[in-house]
Order: sequence, then structure tokens, then C-alpha cells
Amino acid sequence: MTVTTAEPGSAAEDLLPFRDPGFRADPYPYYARLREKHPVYRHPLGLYVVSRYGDVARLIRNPTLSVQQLDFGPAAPIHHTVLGKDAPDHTRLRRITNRWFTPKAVAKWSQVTRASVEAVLDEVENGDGTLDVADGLALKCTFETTCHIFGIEPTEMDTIRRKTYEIGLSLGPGGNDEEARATAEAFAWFADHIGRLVAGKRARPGEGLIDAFIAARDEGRMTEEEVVHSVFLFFAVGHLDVKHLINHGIHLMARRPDLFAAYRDEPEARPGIIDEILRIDTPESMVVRLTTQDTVVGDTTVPAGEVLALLIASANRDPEVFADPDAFDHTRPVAAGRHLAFGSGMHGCAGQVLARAEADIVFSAIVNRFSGVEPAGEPAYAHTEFLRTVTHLPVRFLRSPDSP
Amino acid sequence: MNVEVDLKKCQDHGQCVYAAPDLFALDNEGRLSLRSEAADVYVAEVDEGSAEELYEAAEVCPLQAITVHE
Repeated sequence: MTVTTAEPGSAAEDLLPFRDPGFRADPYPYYARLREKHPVYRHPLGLYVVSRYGDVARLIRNPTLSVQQLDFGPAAPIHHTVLGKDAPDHTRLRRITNRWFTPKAVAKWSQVTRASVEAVLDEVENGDGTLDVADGLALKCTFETTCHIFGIEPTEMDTIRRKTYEIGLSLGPGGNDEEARATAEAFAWFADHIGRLVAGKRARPGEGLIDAFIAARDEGRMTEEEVVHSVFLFFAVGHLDVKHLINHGIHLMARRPDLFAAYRDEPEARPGIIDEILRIDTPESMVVRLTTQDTVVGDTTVPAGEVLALLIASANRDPEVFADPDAFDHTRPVAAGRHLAFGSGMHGCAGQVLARAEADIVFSAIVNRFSGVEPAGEPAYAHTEFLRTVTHLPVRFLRSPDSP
Repeated sequence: MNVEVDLKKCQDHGQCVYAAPDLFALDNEGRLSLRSEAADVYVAEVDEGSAEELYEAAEVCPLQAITVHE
């Protein structure tokens, strides 16, 4: 056994100080040390932390690992969604939504995203050219797309963003009473809000995803709690990670005019640029699983009933797979390995076609309209243990020289 | 009819398994079981009777790794 343990109560250093501001600002040096010296690290909180690409990629698909048996603490209602269920319940729920995020469906949703983005950029062009894109663009266009998919009007955007973040605080390791209370209140708010949305849909049916959930409920394929919390889940995943993908991309382009030019001039490079943004600035840094049997990781055997933290953000910077991993290089060969930002296997992101499309719509619209983008103030962050969060990203869009 | 699965694109989400359990399966490691039969591209003949399942699998694949040839 080569499990490294930071002994609780001793002076032993915590190699993954989840709540340390320095760690949250830049976790990558910590990840590098884990990968190199402690690839299976027993965290003081009891988790087994896995940081190397090979181990993470294999475990993330391992069908013997459970999410259903995990203790989500204050975020327990997540167990009413696909994120907290194993087969066969996971399969049952995922089948209800799988046709809603196919490329064919995404082509339809993309029109909504595009209209939303163009409307925002019209205003920017008519104004002074500056915008805090974090909420003003990245959140707005993804939220409006989600609401369209649901078949509802886009209302309560700021509250939904805030309440989702408050629930996210309880999803990481650790946590405190204040966060637990905020999470409970946020779930209560969502139950109430979504209850009203569902009642409204029952009174005036439409053809949105909420209508599909209601139909599944009436046919006995979903419980009422699954309906409510699945709507919550899509509200959350509809903006959380993809918003950060968009923010990270704009932030990069603001610092790297060459990347802005590459996105504009080389359409064939666009998917690679989006993948590289996801790899180097992975929005969700980890996923957790529970072992249900002895599970071998490297030369360590993790017993049944233990929590594994799979650090996908660390795997995405593993030099064994990605040469010069801290450098942004969208031309790196795909054959070396795929980033794990969307996860993989049965819990892999079902909305990744949509997320990629939304990011491409935003980036394309920007490079087609403007000659450049530059910082217009310092960005602000509210990183949690597992989610990279940009709260403010003020930028200035530069007008094309040939525009009126 | 033929099915072609691009195993370089595939990320083992298993959506095809839910859509067409007679045609696709996941192995003990959670990977598409037909990976043992091909490295890059898997091609096989599929009975017409499974056409509906197969088209659904191709449609729901998040990576669009499945192509159906009539």
C-alpha cells in the first residue's frame, strides 16, 4: 500500500487544502505534486483523491462505482436526478432526456442562443463597447437557451444563478453549517419555483422539456420529486459549466490576440480551441464516487465503502498525456488523449453537444463582429472546491476598422 | 444494412446501449464491448429487424460516433 495520509490532528501538511484561498485561486501546483508523489492520496477528510489521467479515465467509467450510495449531505435531493442514481434508475431517467440534446435538437436550440447573443452584442455596439460578460453574455445566453428548451419564459435568472451556486457550495468536500443552511433554503426555493412552473404547464401545456417530464410523470416513468429536481438539475447544468467555458474563452482571447485571430480565420481550428479551453481551465475540477468493492488504483487497493475524488482538472494537466500541460496549445494531437472535462462513461455530460455549440456561437459572433477584445478591469472569482467560477469579467470589444 | 462505429469519437456514454440493447453493450470496465473487436472503426452488418433501434442509437449518441449505411 502506498496510500499517503495526512494524519488528522498532526502537523502533517494537507496536500489538497480545499478551503484555502491560495488553493482555490490556483490548484494546479497542488495537483502537480499529487500526481507526481501521491497519485492516490488519503485526504484528512477521508476521501481517496486520484489525480493521474490514466487512473481517473479508467475509474470514471468503472460501472462498479456508485453515486447512488454517496452521502451528498445537505445536497441529498440530488439523488432524485441522474447525477445521484446508478443503473437502472439512471438509465430510466437518462432515456427521458436523451433525444433533447442530440445534434438535431441542438441545431434548433442554437437559434435561440444565437438570437440572445446577437441581441447582447447589438447593445454593446450601440453603447460604449464594454460589457461584464460573466452574467451579461455567458449567463444570459445559456440561461435563455435552457428556458426555451424547458418551454418557459426566461425569468428569475439572477436568483437561479445565486441559488444554484449556494447548492454547489455543499457539493464539495467539507462544508459548514452556514453553507448547509443556504443549500437547504436554495432547494426549498427551487421546489417552490419549479412547483409553480409545473402547475403552470399543467394548466397551459406546451412542447418543452418540462412538458415531457410531466408526460413521463403521468405515465409512471418519473416521480414528482424526480420531475422537480430534474428541472433544477437542468437549470443548474444549463448555465454552470458552460458559462465558465464561455468566460474562460473570452478571458483567453482578451489576453491572446493570436487566439482571437485563429478563431476568426481558421474555422477548422475552432473545435480544437474549445477543447483546449476545457482542458486547461476545466470548469468542474472533480467528480466523486463510492467504491462498492475492493478497487485497485495503481498499487493501492481502496476498500469497499470509501469515497473516491477523481480530479478531472488534474488529469487534464497530466504531462504523461498532455506534453507541456500548462501551456495552451489548441494544435496538440487528439491521439495523445482526450480531456475529461465532460467526464466520460454513463455519467458523462449528456449536454456536451449543446455546450460546445453555445460556446462556438458566442466566440464566432464576437470574432465576426469585432476586431478584438481586451480586458476592461480585473476579473473576479468565487471558486468553490470543485467548480471554477468567474463572477465578473469586464471586457471591451473593439470595433472593426471598416465598420461605420 | 451496416453500422459503423467510430471508436476514436466514442466516449462510452452508453446511450446506444439504452437505445439498442440488442446491438450494443458495455463491458465490465464500462467501455463499449465491441472495442475488443476493432481499434478505430467497427463495422458490422445489422439485421433489418433492428433498424429502428439502430437509428435511435445513432441519433442519441452524444458524440455522433454511429453511422448507419442502408
